[in-house]
Amino acid sequence: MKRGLKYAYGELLTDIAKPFLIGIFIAGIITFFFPDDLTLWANDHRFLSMLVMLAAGIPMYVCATSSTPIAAALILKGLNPGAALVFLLAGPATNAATINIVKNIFNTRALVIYLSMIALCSLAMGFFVDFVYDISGVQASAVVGQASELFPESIQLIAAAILTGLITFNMVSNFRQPTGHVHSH
Amino acid sequence: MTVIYEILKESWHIYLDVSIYMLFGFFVAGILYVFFKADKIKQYLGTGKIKPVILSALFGIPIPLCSCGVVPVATGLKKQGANNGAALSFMIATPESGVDSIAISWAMLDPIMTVIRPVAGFITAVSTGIAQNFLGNDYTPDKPRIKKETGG
Repeated sequence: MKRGLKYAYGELLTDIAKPFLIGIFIAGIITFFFPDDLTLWANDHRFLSMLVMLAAGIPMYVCATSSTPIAAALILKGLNPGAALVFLLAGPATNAATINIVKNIFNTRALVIYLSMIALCSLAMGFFVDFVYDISGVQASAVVGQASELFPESIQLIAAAILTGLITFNMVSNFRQPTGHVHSH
Repeated sequence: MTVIYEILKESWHIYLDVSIYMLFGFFVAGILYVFFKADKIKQYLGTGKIKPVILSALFGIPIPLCSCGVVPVATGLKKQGANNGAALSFMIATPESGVDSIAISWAMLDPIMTVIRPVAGFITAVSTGIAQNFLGNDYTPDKPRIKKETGG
């Protein structure tokens, strides 16, 4: 148990910290720069917005966790949820490095299957989720940059402080004694 | 200058929203690490075209590894006898969702998205794995040239 927690708050946190913080920062940029209302455009161009998200998601390096604030920011700006889901699926599954690795460990044929199936499934799921929102009449909602209602701000601040402390501690200790842990990307 | 300040302010608000879920996600990841050892998973992914693909997707969904962190694990699976479809399925299912991203989806998105993410990840992983086992060939290079890259 102790080993598991050490792994999670040490090794895993070290792995995730950087892409996570970058993801948060990108989400901040999107929140700040994107036009406030994408709703009209996204509703008229649903398929196009999915294709854009697919093209952005496949080469981009984001993990499932750090892609979430980005998707939330996009939904908040009015992007259709289907396109956001395409990004959530295609973004974490692939990136330039894994494409290279699939080609090397498997072969080119496997790479073609891998990429085309991910593209196909992401788009299909995107259409499906738009359809679900349409028939249920639910408006996709997201929380970005607002104090979450579930926890009071004091608890959020404490959690943020602990997380920051853990990230800093791991960065410092990794810097001081580089272990045999190879960060294969 | 004000632009950078505003961006950092937005990022900070997001960071506040997310931190507590991240801490929780890491906690669950630690528990999973103890109970689902990678080497234990390997023995279930032997032969067959469909069953190992589904099994490896099911194992992969809750494990919170990023798309690059999963590479050594998937490579290991393949070396230990998992077939190509199962390894690919694991390689897709694992980064597409994990307990941490499910927690964060619950925090930042709505219930529909929270549910559909792991389900869609599972469907994508299984379809790709099965497609590989039926359409792909078993040929693999004798010496995989895996480049070690560093970075986040």
